[in-house]
Amino acid sequence: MRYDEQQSSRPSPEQLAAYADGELEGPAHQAVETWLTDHPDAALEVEQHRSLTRAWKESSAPEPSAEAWRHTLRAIHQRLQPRRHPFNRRWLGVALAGLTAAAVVAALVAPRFLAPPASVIPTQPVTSAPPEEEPFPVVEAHEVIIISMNPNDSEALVVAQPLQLSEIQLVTHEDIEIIEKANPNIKLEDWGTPMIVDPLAFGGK
Amino acid sequence: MPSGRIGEDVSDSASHELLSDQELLSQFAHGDRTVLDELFHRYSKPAYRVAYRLLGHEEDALDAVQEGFVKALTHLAGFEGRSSFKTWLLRVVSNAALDLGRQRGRRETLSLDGLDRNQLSAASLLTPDEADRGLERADLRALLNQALATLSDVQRQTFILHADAGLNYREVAEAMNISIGTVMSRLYYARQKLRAFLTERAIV
Repeated sequence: MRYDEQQSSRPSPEQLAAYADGELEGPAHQAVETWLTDHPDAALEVEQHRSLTRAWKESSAPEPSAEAWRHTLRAIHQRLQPRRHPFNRRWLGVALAGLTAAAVVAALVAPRFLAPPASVIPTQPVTSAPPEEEPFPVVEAHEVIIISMNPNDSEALVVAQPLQLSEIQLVTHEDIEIIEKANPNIKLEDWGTPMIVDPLAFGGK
Repeated sequence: MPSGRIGEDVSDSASHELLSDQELLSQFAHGDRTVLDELFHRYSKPAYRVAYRLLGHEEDALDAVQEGFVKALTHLAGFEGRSSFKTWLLRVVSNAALDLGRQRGRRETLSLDGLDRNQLSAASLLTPDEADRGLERADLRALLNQALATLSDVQRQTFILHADAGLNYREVAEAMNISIGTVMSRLYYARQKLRAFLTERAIV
């Protein structure tokens, strides 16, 4: 570690603490030592850091018993044991994953072919309830860092690649001019929050 | 230090001692579970010290050590070698301890209520002859743990990784993915708070 500043002025409190911890090297260490020689009253501050460290070490926890250590290690071994099943789960898992992926793709692609013409846009709000909200991806996998997770969820978390959508613009209903009646199930007047608009879905550019 | 190596015969133990962490992890990744004992032997003690300081309870600390080892070895793909295995493991253990503390609440093993004011003198804690002042080690630990509870999570974690796990500044920086300057700053202000807490309890 290098702290190369020549200490003609007082070292920072952090540097004094680092010196007390034995973390300074080379010129930085020498500079603090020289300064302390010229300012012996500051040695008290260094000693206070060291005495707290000593008290901390002397307060360390008593060791667990040998049996407690053995129990912990046994538990780790058991939890890291590879699971064995009577039949080959690996291929079953692959097959199920494939079927699931195919079902998801079909559910996402089918509406594009079954949806009403793109020019059909509602001209008036309708009284029926807005479509049920579906979750949609707003980030990619590389933008997510899992900091911590409940171990109970470790089997359920699914991280997948986002859909390849066209360029997405985030707008509110005030930004949209209704041209033609489209999906009669869409009720716009209550949508004060931004919504995702996929231009291709409405014949846009 | 755990006495003996559970599940290992003498020849395994002797050969594993000579391997680097990287070699042990590579063998583990290829299905050799016997190396787990060596890894546990190397790092369970500092891991326990970290967890105990964060949780204040032996059983909870051992649970956190267990959780930390399992998580670290289950997610070896996430260990990209940017730090040593030791610093990475200790970070995982300290995070596991913090999570456990949030779930279970911190359980102190000693109450300070019955202690005489003379025993709580901060001045006596900070001189080399604490034992001569009659302050039992457990009392000292309880008082320092109370002081530790006044720190923020990141200050506490930084301080414990240095003071209990024995990591130097660079290792703490790697473990927590922060700069050395930030380590210095956090440690300094953590100490200031600890000293302020202890000073408030000094006999005037």
